Amino acid sequence: MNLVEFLILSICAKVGQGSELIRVLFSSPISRVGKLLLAEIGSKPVTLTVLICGMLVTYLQYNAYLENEKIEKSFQIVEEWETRGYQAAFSDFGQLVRSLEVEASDLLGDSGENIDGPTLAFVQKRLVEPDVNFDIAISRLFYFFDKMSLCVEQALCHEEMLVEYFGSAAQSFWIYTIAYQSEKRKRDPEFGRYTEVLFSTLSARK
Amino acid sequence: MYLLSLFSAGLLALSPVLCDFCSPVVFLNEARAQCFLESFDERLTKLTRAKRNFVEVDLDACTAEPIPGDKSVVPAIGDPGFANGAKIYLDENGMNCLRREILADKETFEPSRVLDLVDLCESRPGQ
Repeated sequence: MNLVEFLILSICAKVGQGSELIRVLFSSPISRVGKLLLAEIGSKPVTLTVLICGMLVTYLQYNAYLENEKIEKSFQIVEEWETRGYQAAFSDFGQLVRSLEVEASDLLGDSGENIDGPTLAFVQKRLVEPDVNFDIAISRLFYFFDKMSLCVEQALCHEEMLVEYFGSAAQSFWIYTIAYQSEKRKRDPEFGRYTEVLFSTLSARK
Repeated sequence: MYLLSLFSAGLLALSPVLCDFCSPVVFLNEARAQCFLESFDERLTKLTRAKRNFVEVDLDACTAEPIPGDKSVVPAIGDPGFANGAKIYLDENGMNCLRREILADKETFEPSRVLDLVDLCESRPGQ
């Protein structure tokens, strides 16, 4: 018996109508006692109101609990970023990108043109095969962003909080490593897949 | 042996590679592929007159609105087209090999595909 059915029967019982219907529906000997009990509760508006309020409070408390769990899990991710070397790896990555941008700028010279596009292409191309230490750092960052994205994707982490904290870093990282990912996916087609999902989420917000 | 090494080095030097500032990957869907083909001649002409050995190609120049579906594949930071993969930079080899690739696989660009130009253009130079 679902809630709607229960309420209808209760109302019917209260107003003294549909007694035949109730008799037929309640004729099953298996759940007869239970149904009679429910009808008894349902026939009293105060009891019914208390019951519904109780269910509502339980539902809200459960939601609040889930939200707290998500926030706690998200804080763990942030803590991992700060204490397990990911932040340092991202800082190294940033320095590498800056140095490549300076190199590109020197090569392009000052012609008055906007060189942002060619500079980005230069960096992306150079990052395809980075120095082995940077390769490890970039792979670690992908691991982190994949993990974070999976947590958001599975609704285990607080999306707003993590996007606020990592959104811009993750977007820059994705753009600069486009060619790197393409190279890696030749051997591992799933490389960075969850980071890509994170990107779709971030881009859709724009 | 010495001559063989010299010959190999010579071949390596002659094999076309994408320019340093050429885009290593390109995000294509049918509209962008079509746009590239439409603007090919004009861009190639511009390249021959350019100071640099590469030219900018705006793959979204043919569409008034941003292409739906791009958001699911490429990031978009701010306005610049290069960030969402719409603006690419190619030299003559890159232009030709991308054209060849589009003409060969024209039916397979929906919803979208990422083409690795380093792989495509450096292993099979444009003709």
